[in-house]
Amino acid sequence: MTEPPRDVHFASDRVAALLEVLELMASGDTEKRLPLSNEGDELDAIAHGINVLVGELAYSSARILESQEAQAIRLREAVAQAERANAAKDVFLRNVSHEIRTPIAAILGFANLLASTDLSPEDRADLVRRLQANGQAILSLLGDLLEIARIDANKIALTPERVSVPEVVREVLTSLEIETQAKGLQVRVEIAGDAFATLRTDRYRLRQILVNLVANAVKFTESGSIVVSLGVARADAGDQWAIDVADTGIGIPADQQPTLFEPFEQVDSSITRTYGGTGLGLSLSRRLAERLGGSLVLLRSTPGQGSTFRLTLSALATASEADAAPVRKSAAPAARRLDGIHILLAEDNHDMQLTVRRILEKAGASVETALDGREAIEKASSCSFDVVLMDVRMPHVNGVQAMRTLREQGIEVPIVALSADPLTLPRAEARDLGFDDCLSKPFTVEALFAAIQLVHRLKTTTELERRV
Amino acid sequence: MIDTPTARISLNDAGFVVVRIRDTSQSLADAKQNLAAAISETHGRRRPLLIDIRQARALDANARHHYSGQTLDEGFSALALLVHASPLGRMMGNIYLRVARPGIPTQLFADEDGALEWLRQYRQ
Repeated sequence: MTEPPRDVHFASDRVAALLEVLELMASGDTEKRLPLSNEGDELDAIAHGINVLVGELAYSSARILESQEAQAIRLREAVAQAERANAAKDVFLRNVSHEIRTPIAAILGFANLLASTDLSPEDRADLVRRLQANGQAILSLLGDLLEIARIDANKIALTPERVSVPEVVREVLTSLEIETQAKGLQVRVEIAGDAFATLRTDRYRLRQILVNLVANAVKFTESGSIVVSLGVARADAGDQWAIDVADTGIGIPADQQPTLFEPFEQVDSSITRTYGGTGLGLSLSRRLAERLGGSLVLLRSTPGQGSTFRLTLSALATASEADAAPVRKSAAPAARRLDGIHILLAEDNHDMQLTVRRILEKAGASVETALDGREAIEKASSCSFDVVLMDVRMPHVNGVQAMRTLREQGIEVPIVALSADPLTLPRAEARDLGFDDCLSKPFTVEALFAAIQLVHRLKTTTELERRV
Repeated sequence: MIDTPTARISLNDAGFVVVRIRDTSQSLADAKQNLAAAISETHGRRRPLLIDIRQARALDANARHHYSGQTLDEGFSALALLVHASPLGRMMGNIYLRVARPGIPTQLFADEDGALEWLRQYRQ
C-alpha cells in the first residue's frame, strides 16, 4: 500500500482539527474559534469565515439580549410608576372623598336642623348661610379638579392684556385681609425698583395663582408675617419677573418637597386633617404658571421657620388663535325679574327641576316643564316659548338631539343648554352645536337670569329687525 | 506617529493616515485606542485612510463593529484596506467589507502603491 503524499496528510490533519472545534461550536460554545495555520490558504480562509460567522452570531445575540434586558427594565419601571400613580390616585381619591363628605355631612345636618320648627329667623338665616358655604366648598373643589383636567387637556384659554402686577397683588392681599387679620399676621409687599410697571399676561389666571399662594401662606402660618416681593428674575433673557411669596409658617419637610406639586401625591394626610384642602392648589398653580410662560417653584423651606415660593412670569405674546378666548367681562348685574317670559324647562332631575322652576316663577316667569328630550320636543313644537332651558343629559332623547330636532323643524326659540359637565361641553362648544348659550351646573341665580335675559333680548331684537 | 500596543499610526507625506496593524490580537479597547489615534492624526481634516492588515490577526466582532462605526465615516474620506495576497488575506478583507459595511468609499488592495494611488482621488 502506497502512503498518501505528505500534503494530503497535512490537510487531513488540519481538517480533522477544524472539525473537532466545529463540533464544539455546534454544541453551543460560541467562544471557541477555529485554529488558523500560518499557510493563509483556502482552509484558513474558510476557517476565518466560520469564525467571523460565529462571532457575528454571538455579537447579535448579545445585542438582542441587551435590548431585551433594557426593555424588561423599562417595563418594570413603567409598571412601578403605574403602581405608584395608582396608589397616589387612591390617596388622592380618599382625600377628595373626605373633602366632599365633610361639607355634605354638614349640609345634611343643617338641613335636618332647618326641618325643625322651633328655629328663630336668625338661626334659620345662619343655617342657610352655612348650607351655602358648604355647597360652595364642594363646588370649589370640583372647580379645581376640572381646571386641572382642562389644563392637562390643553383646553385652557388665555386672555393676554397689560396687567399691573402690584395692583393684582394688592387686590389678592385685600381679598384675604379677614383671614390675615384674624391671625394677626403682618403682610408686606416689597417692590424692587420699577419692576412690574405692567406685564402682558392673563390677569385672571395670575390672580388665581397668587390667591392660591397667599391663601396657602395664610393657612400654614399661625404667627409672624407674609411678604410678597416683586422683582426681576432674569432681565437679560427678556421680560422675566419674579414674585416671591414668603411666610413664617410651619414649613415643608425636605422629604415632602419633591412631590409638593404633584396633584396626586402632594398631601400628607395629617396636613389634610389639620388644615384641609386636597393639595390641588399648588399643582393647579404650577400648571397655570407654565401656561403663562413661567414657572412656580419652592425656593426654600425650613420646617418651623417658613417657606418661600417663587412665581416667574414672562410676557405673553399676543393671543394666538389657540389661546384666543372670549374676553371675560364682568357680567352686568342681571335684573331680578323675568316678568312675562314664557319658559320651557327640560330637566330630568326632579329636584333640579323643582328648584329652577320655583326660582323662575318667583321672578315672574311662566314655566312649563319636560322630563326628557322627547317631551321637550313635543311641548316646544306645540306651544310658543320665549326661552327653552335644556338639560344636556336626559333619557330617551338627550338635550343636543332635542335641540337639533327643534332646529330642523324650523323652531327658532332660544335654547340654553344646562350642563353638569363643563369639560365635555364648554360654552363655546355648546354655541357651535347650535345652543344659544350654556350654563354649567350648579349655576347662580344671577347667571341663570343673565342667560335668560340675554337670549330673550337677542330674540326680541332679531324679531324687531325682521319687522323693520 | 503614534504607536499603540496593536498598531502604528502615522500621517504620510501625501496627507493620508496610515494604520499598520501588528501581528497581535485586538480587543475592543485596542480598536478604540487605534481609531482614536487615527482620528488625532487627521488634525481635524477628513483624510484618506490606509489600513494595512497584512500582519493582522482575525478581529473579534466587537472590535470589527467599532472599526466600522460613525467615527470612521466622519473622520475619513475613503478607506484602502491592504491585505495579504493569499486566500485568507482576501477573505479577511472581504469579510470586513461585507460585515462592517463602512459608509465611505472602500477598496481592498494587495499592493501598497495601488492603494495609495487610489486614495489620492479622495484628498480634500
